[in-house]
Amino acid sequence: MTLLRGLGPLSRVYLLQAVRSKTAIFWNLVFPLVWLFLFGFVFGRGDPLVISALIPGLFTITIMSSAFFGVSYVLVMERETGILRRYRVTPVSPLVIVLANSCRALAMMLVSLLIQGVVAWLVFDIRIAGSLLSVFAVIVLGAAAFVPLGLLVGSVAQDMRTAPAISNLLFFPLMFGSGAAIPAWMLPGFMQTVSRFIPSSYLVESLQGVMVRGEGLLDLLGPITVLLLTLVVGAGLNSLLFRWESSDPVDRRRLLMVVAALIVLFAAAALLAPSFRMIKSPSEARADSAAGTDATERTLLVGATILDGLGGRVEEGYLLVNNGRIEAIGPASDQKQDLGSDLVDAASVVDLGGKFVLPGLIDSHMHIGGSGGGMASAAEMAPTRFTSSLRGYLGVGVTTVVSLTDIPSHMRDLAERVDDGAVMAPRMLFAGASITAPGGHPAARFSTVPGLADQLTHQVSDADEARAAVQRARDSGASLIKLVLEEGAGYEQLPRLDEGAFRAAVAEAHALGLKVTTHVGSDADARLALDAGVDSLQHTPRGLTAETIAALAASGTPLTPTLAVLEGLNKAAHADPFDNVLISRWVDRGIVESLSSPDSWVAQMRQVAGFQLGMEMAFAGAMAATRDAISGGAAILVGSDSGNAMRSVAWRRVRMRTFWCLTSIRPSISLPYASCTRSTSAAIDSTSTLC
Amino acid sequence: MPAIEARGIRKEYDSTVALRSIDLSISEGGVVGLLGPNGAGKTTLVEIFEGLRRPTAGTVSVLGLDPSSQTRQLKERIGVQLQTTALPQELTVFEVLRLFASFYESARPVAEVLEMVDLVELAKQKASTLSGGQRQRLVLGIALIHSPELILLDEPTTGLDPVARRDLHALIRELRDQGRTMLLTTHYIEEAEHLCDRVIMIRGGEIVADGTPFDLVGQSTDSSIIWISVDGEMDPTPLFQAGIEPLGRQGQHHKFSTTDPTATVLALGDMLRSQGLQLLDLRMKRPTLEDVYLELMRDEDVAPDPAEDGSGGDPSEGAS
Repeated sequence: MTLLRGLGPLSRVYLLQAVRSKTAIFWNLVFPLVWLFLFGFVFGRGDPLVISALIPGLFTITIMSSAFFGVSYVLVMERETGILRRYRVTPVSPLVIVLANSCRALAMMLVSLLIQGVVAWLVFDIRIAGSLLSVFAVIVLGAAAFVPLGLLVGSVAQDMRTAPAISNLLFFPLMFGSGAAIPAWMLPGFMQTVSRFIPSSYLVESLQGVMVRGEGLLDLLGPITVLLLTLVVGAGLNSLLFRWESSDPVDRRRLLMVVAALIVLFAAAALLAPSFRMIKSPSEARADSAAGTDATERTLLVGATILDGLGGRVEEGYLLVNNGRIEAIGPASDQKQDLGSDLVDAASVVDLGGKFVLPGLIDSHMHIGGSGGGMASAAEMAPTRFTSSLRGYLGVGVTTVVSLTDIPSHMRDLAERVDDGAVMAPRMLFAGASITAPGGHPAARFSTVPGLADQLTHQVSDADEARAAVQRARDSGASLIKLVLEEGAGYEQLPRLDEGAFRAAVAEAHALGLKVTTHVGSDADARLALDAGVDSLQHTPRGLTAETIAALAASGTPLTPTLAVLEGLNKAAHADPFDNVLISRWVDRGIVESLSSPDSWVAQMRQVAGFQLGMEMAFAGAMAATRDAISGGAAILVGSDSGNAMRSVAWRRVRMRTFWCLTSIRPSISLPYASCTRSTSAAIDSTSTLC
Repeated sequence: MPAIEARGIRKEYDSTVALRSIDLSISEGGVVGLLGPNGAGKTTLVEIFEGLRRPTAGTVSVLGLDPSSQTRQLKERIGVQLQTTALPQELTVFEVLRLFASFYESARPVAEVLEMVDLVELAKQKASTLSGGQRQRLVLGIALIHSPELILLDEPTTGLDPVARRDLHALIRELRDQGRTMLLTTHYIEEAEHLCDRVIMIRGGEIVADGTPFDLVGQSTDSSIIWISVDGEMDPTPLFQAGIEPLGRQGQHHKFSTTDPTATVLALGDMLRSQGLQLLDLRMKRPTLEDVYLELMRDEDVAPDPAEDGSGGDPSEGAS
């Protein structure tokens, strides 16, 4: 074919030149390694997982720098020195020159990437989630898509003085705006929008898909299509701008056409391409893929100490996971015997030597809508305030939370955002507004923000109002009903929920199929609650008697002592809780300010006579009562009261305490597991219950 | 059919006129020299023939083809040496030739071309390490690789030392003997005189003389110059009466100018006899092409190129 005559030899010549030129070798082989070590040692700190996640960005940068600083410069230099002019008086076509340049560029890019990949594998032990074939296909496509863009720069640039300016002007926005240099999920919102308009994002997205998220090419049809179009449109536009000689002017009309075509292409891509998955942080992505159905492969976790939550303990065990479910557990020494060597060989093995495997934990008392602070302002009650702690829960192994007392609409919005994948959270059960007496606990706590108490509580005085409140709670989507029996401790007196109203509410809730949990302040409250048949008790009742403990044990109704909140309040009563650097770092700054302020609720309470002594006694009493309850055979659950003042970091404590218990430091306390199915539950539906 | 046929070619760049009106017909076979000072329009004219530039007006036919529309067919049949040729970097002589050979529908074997331009021993040497003459031979080799019917050489010998230049002349003569048509530009007059079958002088974008070197010299109105040395005091008065012009005297050496050399030599013999003097030395020089050239380039008020008006150097060299 005459149009392509000379393509092979010219491509070979370009390659020969690249191999023989010392500068080309430096820029194509040495320089990419410098980038790799920068990413590996500085950004990735040598961590294989982190570096594996950074590699797609690094590859994109390598491809782009080769396109904008390699391909374009070669074209400009060949034009400037007159080599193209010499080719011009032969029958060789511009197409051959452009294609041969592209072949060389593609080959150099692939060599650079291969070296980066192999060295990353050898030095940093990176892992590739998807198939190598898909990775190769995406790399070739991505490299091919950027070559025409580099050539366009080469055709537009007047000489070697203007070429670097144009290249830099394109390179840096494409690098920083795409998630190549800074992971996309770290970019601010408007930058994530910008990233949809630039081609490099689609390459990062595709590479992350095959390299990090383990996706196949079909999962990435959107970004791959954009890259293909970039290649086709870019290649076509080159024919408009190719120039043989520096003295040939750049056709302005054609340049405008090229720019317009590219703008149309990327605007269409931004509007039509599916949303980037790379904007999710790795932990969010992991949670997603765990929830997805693509985990069909069997995974064998070996070497960990496995605690089954029922008192069983397997040292150096194996745990076979199939499609997201545990299929078998046993000692590692028996795995081949138990499972058969075919299955063991086929499974992907994860070595967990030295680690523990626990069932998912349940925090049976917390407050998603709580601010964790003194609620000095409405801003502190923002519905999103607590979502970062939800992620923290997952991080410490809590997979179910029971939130008691929230604004129902906030909870429904949050549940929607969790379903959309915008927020990562454990499974959430919530009571919505709690039902209490007019002016009773906790309505009194919310008086600092006008109107807040009415959103967070239903204040009822008789049975009819109580039944209506239960129905409203049910209608607002509550998973359970929270009732409050509290007449206040020594330093404050509060109206308690009317007994008739209380009993009516329990009966109504059960009639509607809802479980009931009850805040109990005193022994009398606990007795009433047990008598009315509630499903669980919250907090340690003051003056808990042996009879009540016996009734608890007999009924099997669990008690959540929430000792953590009393411990926290006791500390706060005596001193500024944020004199501890570690705590003040973990807690949201707004909350720290709210609680540290001399006007804060805690600070003011500290001025109340008897407050400190009252809290001291309350905490000591609760500790003693809990001990008695345990020894009396009552079922005890762990509840952190997180979201309550002072308890914003309690989930860390939940883990620590749970872990002590599981490892038999305190064997007498039974603990909640989300995945355990044995006994009945108070607040929780029948599939995930308590031990 | 003539190899090149040009009618009324005019070429204007932004504000300057490079070619005014060129009419030219070059038949097949032989070497045609395009002679003129820098900026005369030689390169522009050649590049129009090569298809690199379009004339502002006029018609051109090269090997029966229109260079601006039938570029591709034309490029298969012409061999070109540009005034300055950049070669691909990092390649050996052999690789350069092989690359260019691949661009043509049919090309000679590279070995044959190496033989032809006498670069067999340097085939494996990097092109960037060649001497000026070797490099020029390689560039000519590139132009010849596809056995072109017409060869256009733009200042092939500029910058070469005398030996390299002589070698290149020999090569061009060889090609002429093979019956090829060559058009070369030069500003070396003796090159045109010794190498070309036909010389076209161009100045200010116009053809000012056209013919064989012999014809051009014959057309000249210039006188021949005669030098003599005698063994005593000579009285040249009789010669003046015969219309011979004295040009100067230094002791026994005399210099004359004459339009009729035969008559002058006879008159000189008679006079020396009559004065009893012996002739020690006699030289005569016919007008050369250089004289013709200088005469043609001098006698009209050509506006000097501002770039050449400065303090030296040769800044317009290479400008197209």
